[in-house]
Amino acid sequence: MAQQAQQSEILASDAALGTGTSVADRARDNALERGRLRATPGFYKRAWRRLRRDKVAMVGLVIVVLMVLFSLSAGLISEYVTGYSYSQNNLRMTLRAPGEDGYILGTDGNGRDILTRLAYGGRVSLRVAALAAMATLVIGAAVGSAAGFFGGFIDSILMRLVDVLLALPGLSLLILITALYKPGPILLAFVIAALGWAGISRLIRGEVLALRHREYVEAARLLGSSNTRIITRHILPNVMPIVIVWLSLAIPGLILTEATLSFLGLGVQVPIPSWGNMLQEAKDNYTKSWTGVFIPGFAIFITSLAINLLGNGLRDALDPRLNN
Amino acid sequence: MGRFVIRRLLQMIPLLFGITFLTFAIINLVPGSPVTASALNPRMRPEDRERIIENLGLNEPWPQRYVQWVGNVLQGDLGLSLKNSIPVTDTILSVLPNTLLLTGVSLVLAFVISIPLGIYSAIKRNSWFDNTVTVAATAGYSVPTFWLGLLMIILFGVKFQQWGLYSLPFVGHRSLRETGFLDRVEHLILPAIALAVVDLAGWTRYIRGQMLEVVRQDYVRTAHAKGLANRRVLFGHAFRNALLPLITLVGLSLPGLFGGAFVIETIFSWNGIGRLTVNAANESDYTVVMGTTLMFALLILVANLITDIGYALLDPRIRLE
Repeated sequence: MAQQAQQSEILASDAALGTGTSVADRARDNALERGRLRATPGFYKRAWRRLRRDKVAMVGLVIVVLMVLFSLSAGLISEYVTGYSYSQNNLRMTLRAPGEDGYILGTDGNGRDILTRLAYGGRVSLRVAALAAMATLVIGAAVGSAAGFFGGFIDSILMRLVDVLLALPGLSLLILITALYKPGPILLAFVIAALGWAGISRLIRGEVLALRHREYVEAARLLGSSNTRIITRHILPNVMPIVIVWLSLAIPGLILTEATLSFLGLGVQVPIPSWGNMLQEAKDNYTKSWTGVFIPGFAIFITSLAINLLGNGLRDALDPRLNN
Repeated sequence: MGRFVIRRLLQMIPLLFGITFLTFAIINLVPGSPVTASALNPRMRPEDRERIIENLGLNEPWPQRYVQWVGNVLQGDLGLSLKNSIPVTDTILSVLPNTLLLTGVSLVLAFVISIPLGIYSAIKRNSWFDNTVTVAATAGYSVPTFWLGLLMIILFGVKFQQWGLYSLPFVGHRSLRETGFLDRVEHLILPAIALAVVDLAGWTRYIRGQMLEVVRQDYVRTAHAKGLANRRVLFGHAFRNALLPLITLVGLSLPGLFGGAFVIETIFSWNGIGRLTVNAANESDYTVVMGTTLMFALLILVANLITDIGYALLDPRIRLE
């Protein structure tokens, strides 16, 4: 949560550096000056070209894709590779080291196959993080664009609410809520979102505020476009780059939040595996099996690192102003 | 300045009301009560149950209990723990110093290491040193604190002992028998480092970026042009200006630092306010949870205020109105 707040704050300061022109506009202006608008590929196409040259970001992208594929194929792995289900105990085969007795990544304290659980755990962890990110984004975008676009009374009410949310001891409240209500994975994602949308809404508000009085928005208004149309067709597309970067930097934070809660025994509940609660169970046997602790934590680490690297690359690719 | 501080302190009041009211509502909207489980206890007579409910004041509607709670808090009374009937105020005050020690040492550690790393990284831009630091900082930023803590326990606590090397203690904030200074330091090393890593990584990246930004400013070029030594320019002109935004960042990092304390204290059995909260939440000890939530909210609000004041003191361009 806090990492997330810090990241979005860094992002906000980045955004503040160049208030005024949006990236897409600038690119279009440059293209117009050179008099070959038609020949210039689209904004996202050029961003993708820039991203492709960024080796570190591409490594991140590959790891992310591999992790997602690994998690999505959990059922196949259980069926064809390991032959165990994620909840199948074998008390005569506990705490096997990787490779021992045919267990590729070993077994945990209940003799369950770690590789199978890692794949299923990834599915739960990534799903919670992705869902939480989407829900956060929907709330944040709605509040942020309403506050930025309409301004005045609505703006001050919504931004006071944001102030309160930012002052909340987030993790403390999450611990309390999860301890009391024991939510399932989906509800957990929404609870995280309900407490965490303040940062992105402020970011979007700032962006919308800057875009609201641009000439093309005025032009659209003169042509008789409704507010809804102006927001969805003219403003939100220009907020997209910053949203994409925010997403890529927020998801690692959300993965860590879910893992932290599950690690404290409060997030995703056993027997459903998540990377966090696998670590929680493994920590009871840390003197006997260090691999049991290492493997799920490494999965969390490498995934959030890969997304962070990709996010850094995306920020550079989507915002040429920040290239230095 | 005085007026600004007073106004900010006054603004904290509604914020604190909002936070505690929300927490109180969350706790009390949950079905069941702290005594629900005892209904299954065959040795508890119904009249005893009634008596307990009566004593805990659970018969009254919760908004009314919130008002009572606020009234008591204003007199410094956070109520009694539902589990062991010890006054919550005493419990919190007895563990608070431990948490402040742990988070304080981590903060200093992160500060002292990240500043030279970030500056040197920016000076030697794109060198192997800079690249290593940048990668390490991104890695440190992505690492789950609790995993890092566990790995450190396994390596420096358990394995080093097995290999006959000097191993560090990893349970509690001091040994039971020994209470010397050295013993306290030994117990601090692992949890403080584990807790510091995230901020250390984040700040290093930030300081590097700030330095690169500042070095391009005109006044730095002027300083160079008038023939000042490189060192003077870096530390007299560039560094001081790069440091300013760091103050905000430190303020912003504090909630995360306390959040990290929840897990680190749990892993290292550090007798602090974070571990107290996690245990109390798991045991449905609501009075304790209310107390620690209030405490955390207060810590964060005060830290934010200090950040703002520090910023105004250091940057003459900012006027507090």
